Amino acid sequence: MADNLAARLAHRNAALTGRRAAERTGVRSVSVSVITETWSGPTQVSTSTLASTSTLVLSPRPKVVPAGEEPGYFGGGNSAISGGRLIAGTYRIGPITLATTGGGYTVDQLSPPGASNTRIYYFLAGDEFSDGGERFELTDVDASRPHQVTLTVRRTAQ
Amino acid sequence: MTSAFAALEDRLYDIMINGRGVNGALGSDALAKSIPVGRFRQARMNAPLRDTTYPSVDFDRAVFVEWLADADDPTINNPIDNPQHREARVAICNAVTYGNAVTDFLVLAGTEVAATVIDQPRQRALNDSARIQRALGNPDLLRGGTPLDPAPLACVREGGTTLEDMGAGRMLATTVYALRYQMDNATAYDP
Repeated sequence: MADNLAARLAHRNAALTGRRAAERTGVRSVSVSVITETWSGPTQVSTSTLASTSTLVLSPRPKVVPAGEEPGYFGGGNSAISGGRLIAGTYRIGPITLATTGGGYTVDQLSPPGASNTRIYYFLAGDEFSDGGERFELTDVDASRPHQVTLTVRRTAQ
Repeated sequence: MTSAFAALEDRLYDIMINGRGVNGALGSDALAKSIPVGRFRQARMNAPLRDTTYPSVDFDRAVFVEWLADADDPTINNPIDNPQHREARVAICNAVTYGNAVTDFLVLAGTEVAATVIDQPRQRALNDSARIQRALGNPDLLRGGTPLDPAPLACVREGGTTLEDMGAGRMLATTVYALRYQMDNATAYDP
């Protein structure tokens, strides 16, 4: 039996419709952005300058739920929200509909390839996070399901 | 006036990451020992390199100044003498990344080839440590140019450089230095 790509894309479109409906009802309170900074040279080198910033705001907004927490220390972290207690939070983002004719995203769009001159981070904004949002880094991509992908991110130095 | 340690730390980073002496202004010996801009980088947000949440892209060839202790200089040092001589202990941590999955995150120098050096973290880390030790130990790089207050006098390695494999493709070399410096007894060095 051959693979049925058309059926898969149709299912993804249906899933996309459902996720857009959830967003319209207001239950998706967290905005998720994939931000790619491209620097003129290796990041953090004193002569490197920020050349461009590309921001991909995920639409429809995916579900964002805590996936456990682990204690940690951030040199530049924002501790105001935790009353001085620094917690490296882990969140699961998804399911996000994989690319189809009506929208969705490819895995490459959601987890762009890294390089020494490229800083990639995930920006989560909403009631759960400090004013303006907080930075996260990717720790896992689960694209094993046919219609959806789920990201796991961990709070990083802000 | 700034805090004494802020001024000293700035000098250490100037030597390691800002290319102090590379223009030859501090003499030929300083030029030979100087470290070009771009070879090393300051730890992001001044975060410790042992922090497991430290971003991978900023890790390779990152350096971090870790103050450990401060004491009076063991030579004669009356409290009303001016200047006051002191000796601080400071650890310089320098990081390297290893493992085939992270070749894109290397900061390569000279003829280094990512595919080769990614499997040589130990010799790479020790070589970087030696490079830093040569530069910090050079009197002209440490003391030359516009006088600094407090004035660093000598930066001498204490013991050896130790390697620490942190796992997840991260290796850290730590070298402890004795940094002798002198302070003006009439200055408070308030931040």
